[in-house]
Amino acid sequence: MTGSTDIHAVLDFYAKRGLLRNVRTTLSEGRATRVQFTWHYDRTFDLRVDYEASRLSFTDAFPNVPAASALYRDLTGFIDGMMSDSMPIHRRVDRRKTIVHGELIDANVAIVADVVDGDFDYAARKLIQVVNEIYFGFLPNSAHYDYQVQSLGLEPNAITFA
Amino acid sequence: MSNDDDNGIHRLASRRDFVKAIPIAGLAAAGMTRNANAQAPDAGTIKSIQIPPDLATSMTAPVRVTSFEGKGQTGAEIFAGMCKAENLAAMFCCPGNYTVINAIASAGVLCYGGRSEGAMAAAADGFSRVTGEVVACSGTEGPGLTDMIQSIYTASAAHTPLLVLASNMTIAQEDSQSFIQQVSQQELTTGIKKYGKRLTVPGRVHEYGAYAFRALKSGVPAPVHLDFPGEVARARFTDPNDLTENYDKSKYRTESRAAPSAPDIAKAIDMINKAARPLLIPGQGIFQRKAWEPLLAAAEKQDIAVCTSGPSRGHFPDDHRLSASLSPKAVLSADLVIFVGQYQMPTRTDYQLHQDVVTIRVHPSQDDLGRNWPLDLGVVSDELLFMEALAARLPRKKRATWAAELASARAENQKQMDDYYALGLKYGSSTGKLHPAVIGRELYNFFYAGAIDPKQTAHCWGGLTNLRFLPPYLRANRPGQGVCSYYQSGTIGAEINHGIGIAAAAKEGYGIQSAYKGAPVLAVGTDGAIAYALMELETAAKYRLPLICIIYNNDSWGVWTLAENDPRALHMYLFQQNLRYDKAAEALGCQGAYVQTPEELRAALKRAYDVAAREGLPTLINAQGIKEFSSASLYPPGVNIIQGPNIAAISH
Ligand SMILES: Cc1ncc(C[n+]2csc(CCOP(=O)(O)OP(=O)(O)O)c2C)c(N)n1
Repeated sequence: MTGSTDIHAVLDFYAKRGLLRNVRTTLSEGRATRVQFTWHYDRTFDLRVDYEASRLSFTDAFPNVPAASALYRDLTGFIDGMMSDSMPIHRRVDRRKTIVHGELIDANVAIVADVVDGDFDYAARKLIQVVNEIYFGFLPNSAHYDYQVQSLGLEPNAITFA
Repeated sequence: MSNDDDNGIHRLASRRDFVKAIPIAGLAAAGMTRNANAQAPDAGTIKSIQIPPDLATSMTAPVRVTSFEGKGQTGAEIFAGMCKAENLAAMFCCPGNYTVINAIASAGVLCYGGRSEGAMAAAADGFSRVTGEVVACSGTEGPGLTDMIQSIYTASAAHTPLLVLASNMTIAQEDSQSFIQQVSQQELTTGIKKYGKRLTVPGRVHEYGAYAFRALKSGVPAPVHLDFPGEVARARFTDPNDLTENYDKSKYRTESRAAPSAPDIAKAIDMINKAARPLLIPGQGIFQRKAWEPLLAAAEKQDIAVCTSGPSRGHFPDDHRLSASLSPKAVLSADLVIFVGQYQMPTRTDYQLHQDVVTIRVHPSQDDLGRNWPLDLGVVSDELLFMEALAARLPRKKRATWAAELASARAENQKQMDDYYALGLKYGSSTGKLHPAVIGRELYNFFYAGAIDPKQTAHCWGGLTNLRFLPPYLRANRPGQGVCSYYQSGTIGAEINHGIGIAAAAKEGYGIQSAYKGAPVLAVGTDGAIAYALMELETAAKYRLPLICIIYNNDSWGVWTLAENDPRALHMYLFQQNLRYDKAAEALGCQGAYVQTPEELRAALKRAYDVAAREGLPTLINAQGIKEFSSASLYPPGVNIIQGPNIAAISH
């Protein structure tokens, strides 16, 4: 173990910086924690932390994504890109510490961080960053506007068209 | 002697002389007007559109100086004198509130009379957005003021120092249901003004004029609304002692501003020194306070990236190597953000910044600091004084890696725009219509990458479903060059009316527009927007305002996709197809062009530029697209969201 395992401190830090709202722990049992909070598009994000499996994941982050879809391809490609050399070093996810990926279960894509070196603090920060960049960098530049309206609750009247 | 260059673009220097040499009335006499009737077969029986000779006579009539001697001065004249003394830049109105508008025009304020109060109020807003000056609008009591509400709202969202004037019948008639037009005005502008007052005591007209200008010229600006009942406007004063607080602006307001405290500036400098990738967001306050020179100096001293925000753009040049306005990817790397004069504060999910970004915010008053966005340092300071302190005290430092990241993100963004353009060409050739990415590229080539000085053309833009394709091409490389008409309000139609005000400022070379006096102005709008503004093109033609309007015509409200799954609702979003807004503009005395291909657009732009530059004649270019280009599924990538800070953002 090289880092903190206190996920709550990380989430508290971002709550105090105005990023996450309404942070609440819904499960805290042994080696598993589940925390919910409100974030992009006013959606509820569900973060599961499995200390046994050294895994953090935003379950159901992207619902209704068929395996063979362009969205699945583009999204997982973007997440991979977060670990690639083309990403500036200060934004890159260091794969020696954490591996991020999208995991498709029953047409839902979970955004997952596998903790390599036991540094849950780093993994949590990077996972938050990956989702932040998906909402700020990937979705707006993509061709998946309709998906955002239909499945992510993007409110066109409120956000896009005023 | 021709002043055209190799590309056939008429040179501004000679245009200036031309505009000076030929008065408005002279243009018609010289047979230089364009209009539909002139070419009509029955031209012999139906007279062509003409600018009335009275117009030039009226506009050059001597200024009237009033005094307390003899008949004395009316309340309206007292107030007009204050407007003159406060350098009110211009007034845009429709007749109504007669005593007041006549007094203001007679006092020598630059005035324009148009066709609808709402459109003229928006033109006033446009004039202010490219000059930073206080501008007035005026209308009659009930119908005039209520017509202006949309524009007052739009101006308030943009924090425009707009002086809203309207008459009120008389205090004597109040609550009597007598005659017409009575309305309780001040309630109507609640929530969309900074200060408002119905003047009821004639002797206090100067005192309340002072209230108005104090509010307009101090702190964070916003509209101010005064309504003048007949008893006040028409009251006569022969003795200055009959007026309360009758002293000049040096006594009823102050130019003193809050300077940053020594500990605050030291802390800010320390935080900037420690940051690896600082980003400055100069908002509306930098423009209002004309703080662009110290902004540039501070940014260059430490290689600080800059991404402007607000309704006016150009106070940091888009073409500067430190500009992040076209490097959205790099913006996400900033580790320190410094908001200066950000009058509409985003939340953490409104602005595309890194989750760990440290924040400094500088604001002229304490009361907004900490709103929406948690601060690491809040500084109460006038924007100019803060930037001057920063520019003077910041040590020099190179940030080569940060500058390189900005450059590479800019190149990546350009690549994406090139891809959109290629796609737009493909969609264009399969449909025979113009895609917004192609319109954007053609405008860029013409106004920014060709024979015209890329700092010259002031522009404004609207449109909501083409944000990723077109607005990024409209560059602001000097203060007051760019206007985001939908800033924080999303008011469809504001852009064309703003364009009229901007063209007035350009024609006059008013204030910061003086270097490009007479230069044609570009207003990019939509077929949705033109409905709110078409008739006002007559005003633009009447005053020979050098305006080039591009209307992106997609036969619909671009949000028709929201009814794709509601078949019985779709009809509400559709217009007749292939409408000829260009013909309507011709019928109002402008030049018109209908274009469906890049070649046609190019030729139309050249013609429009030439008549605007030579004669001040406005043109409407009707650029035909199709509604399906807004659909992300039919013509991907289609519509999208743009979040700030970004050249195409419409909020914060
Ligand atoms: C005055 C006004 N009315 C209605 C709306 C709601 N609205 C937002 S976008 C939009 C459609 C815009 O269509 P158009 O102006 O033709 O532009 P396009 O989307 O085609 O670029 C509408 C109706 C608004 N923002 N402003």
